[in-house]
Amino acid sequence: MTGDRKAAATVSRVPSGPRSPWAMALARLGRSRVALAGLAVLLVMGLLTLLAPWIAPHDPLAIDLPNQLQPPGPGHWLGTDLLGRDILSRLLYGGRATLVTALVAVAISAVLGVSLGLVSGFYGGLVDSCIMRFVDMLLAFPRILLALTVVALLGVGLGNVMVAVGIAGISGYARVVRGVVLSTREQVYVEAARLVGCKNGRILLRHVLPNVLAPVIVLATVDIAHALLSASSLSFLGLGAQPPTPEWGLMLNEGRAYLRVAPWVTTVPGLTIMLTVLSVNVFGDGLRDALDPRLRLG
Amino acid sequence: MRTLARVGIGLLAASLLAGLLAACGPTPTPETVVVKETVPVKQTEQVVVTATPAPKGGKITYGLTLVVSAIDPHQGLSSELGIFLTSVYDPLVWQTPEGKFVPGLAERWEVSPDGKVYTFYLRKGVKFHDGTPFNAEAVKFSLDRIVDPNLKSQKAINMLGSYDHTEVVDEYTAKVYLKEPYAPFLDSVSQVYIAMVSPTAVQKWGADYRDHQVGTGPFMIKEYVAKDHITLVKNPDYNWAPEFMGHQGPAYLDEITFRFYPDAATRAPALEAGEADVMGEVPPQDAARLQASGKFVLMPTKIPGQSLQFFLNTQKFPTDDVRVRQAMIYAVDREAIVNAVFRAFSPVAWGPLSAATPFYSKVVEGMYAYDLNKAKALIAEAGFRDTNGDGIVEKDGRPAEVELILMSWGNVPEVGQMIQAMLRQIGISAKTQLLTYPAAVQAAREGQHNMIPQAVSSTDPDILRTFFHSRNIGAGLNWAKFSDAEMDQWLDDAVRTTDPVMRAALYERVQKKIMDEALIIPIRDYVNLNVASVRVKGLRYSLQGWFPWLYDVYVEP
Repeated sequence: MTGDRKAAATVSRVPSGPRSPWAMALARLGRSRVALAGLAVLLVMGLLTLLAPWIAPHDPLAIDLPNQLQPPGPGHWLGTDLLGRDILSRLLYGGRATLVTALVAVAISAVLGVSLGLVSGFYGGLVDSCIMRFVDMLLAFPRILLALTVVALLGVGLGNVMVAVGIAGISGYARVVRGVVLSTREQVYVEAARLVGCKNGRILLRHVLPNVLAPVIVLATVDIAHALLSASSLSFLGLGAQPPTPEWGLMLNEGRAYLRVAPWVTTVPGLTIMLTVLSVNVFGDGLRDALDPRLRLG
Repeated sequence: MRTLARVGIGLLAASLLAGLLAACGPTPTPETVVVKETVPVKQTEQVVVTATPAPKGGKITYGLTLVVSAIDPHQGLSSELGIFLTSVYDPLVWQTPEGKFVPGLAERWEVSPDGKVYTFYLRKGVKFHDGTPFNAEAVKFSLDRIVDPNLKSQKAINMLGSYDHTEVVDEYTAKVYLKEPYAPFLDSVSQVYIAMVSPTAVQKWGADYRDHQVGTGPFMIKEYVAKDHITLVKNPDYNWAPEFMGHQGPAYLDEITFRFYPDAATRAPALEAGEADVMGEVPPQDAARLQASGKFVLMPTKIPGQSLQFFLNTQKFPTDDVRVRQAMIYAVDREAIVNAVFRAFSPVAWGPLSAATPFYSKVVEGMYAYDLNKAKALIAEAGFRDTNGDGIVEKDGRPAEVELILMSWGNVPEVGQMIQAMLRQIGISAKTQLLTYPAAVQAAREGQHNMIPQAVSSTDPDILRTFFHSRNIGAGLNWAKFSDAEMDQWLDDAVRTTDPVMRAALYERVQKKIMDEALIIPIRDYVNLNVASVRVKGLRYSLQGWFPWLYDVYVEP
């Protein structure tokens, strides 16, 4: 028995063939229990919200006044809100609005930020100066304030919150990507590509972009937590999801006035937001360690 | 322990009750002794000192709900400013809780037969806090200040109606001339917005007067820190309280601090933590709990003026059809809303005015009682059918979709969501949009809404003119966008006559017409849930519902 295990361990330590950096990263990630736990929570949460229409016990919008502010119990596992709506069902449906908002916002930040960073770092000069000053300007404002300003300009609504939070997140990506591009464009293989006559666009997409993927993935993961918090905050302030849409931030706000009478109306969405953000963060940390082992050593 | 405490409170309550009963007639019980000591207290200050070792007094903190920016009574329009300024200024005429006009700074007054000239005979010996004597010049100065266009008065100027000028007949006689009869005039001068201000102080401070206000009232402003607090202290020279107050001479309290609690969720905790002794607009769910604790007294005060109502835009599909509007009122179960959101603290509203408003007419009561079948029948009669089976009715291919604008005051979001669900039952789809007040006003001006809420308090039904006169369509507040020459005439006539019978008849027609035309969905009569610590004694509220009379208040040690 012991011998077998030792043998197995030896095998795993000596790779059978050349492994890609991605596979190695994955293996490193697999060794971080906390990160895996975070990932598991996220997967379960994603699955539950995806399946909301089939698994939600009640219609999230169905008003049932005789059952208002019911504490958690057999009929309503997480209780009901002021209008007698089932909180569990609203939480499941609300997850869709909340998570989609966060994901779309991060996608907007990443796409815009990476594009700006690539162009800025690769071309340098005046282009670089202009873009980076714009990014500095974004950076000068606290993120939530910037998002608030954008929502004020665009108007309230979940769609506008996605754009607002997305724009507010651009600067991080642009700066990280620009840094990586600055060092990459001096690499020999980029010189080589240029020598064989590759056009700028091809060099950017085929030779430079893959290098920035790892840091961008790490950044995006951690950013989901920020985006989720910002989006929920905006909904909490009444600028995002409009009643009666179930959305975690909005649910938090709706229950606030009844905190002393019916604490579950606020605590349930509040804890859910906290758990999600925590899971994203620990998973993001694990991912960063896995993709960039140098960081871990340093 | 708890039982003991309950017994203690019970005993206390019983003895208090006995005391009250005893006050009505002499009864040979030991409690009467206590009462006999307290009764003369209300007549002379001398007895207080001899009868009870500690004179009535103390300090209280009063919680306000909105952070007021304009605190000059002649300038601002908020109810909050009146909450503290009611103790700083005396009106020319007081209005008792029963709605009777009694002498204030004016000992008596006469109204000319044509209703255009009011002669006020002023009380002698009254002094402003800064020592300036109060006289006819001060009356003229105060009224002229309100109508000065440079002051940009938001409320007081409208309350003076067709004010023309004031004539100083002699030191203690002032004649106020109106351009045309204005029925609410006495009601106006009984309110804090038509405050009698010290001419000396206004001339000294000019535009900064709001920070250095000087009146004749029982309390003086000691300190005003914007957005934080206002502190009032006792006016030791005060000796001109109206007769319906509980005592004469200076007020009991030494100091009152007003603090702001704009977030409704923080009001009950502030009371429980002892941070505030009195608080207005406590959320209904907290009010019930505080009352049950036995440590607080709940004082629900009816607010005259508009009921909480949603205007229905008569110029936008589908609410341009009166049958659709009527169906919508029938479909909204007001009682369910009042029970769920307002915890039955508010009466269901039937018309544009709350039942506490003068000239409220019972003719609207029972109109549009909740009836889903009638609502569905009216929708069908208007030509709406659900042709595509999506649960929403259509007419000529246009679905019955309404734009429901919500704002975050007065539980409107909760009420709005309930209305949305109720309208769905008759096949109307309501799209909700939560807007800030300025954004909502803008949307209403542009007519983007089908439904929008409003609730403005007023002790005179003339408020209806603001919301239903056709000249207020567009830039004004006629959000139903309803224009009717007959109704305009009634509304205008009702302020030109001082004959109460005539006014009642006109306002009855107006209220009936508003409901016949289904211009609003009335929800509830506004009730201000004031909560005070049991230690705070003698607190009463004026007829406006918002303004406390703090003159008789003292704190039980």
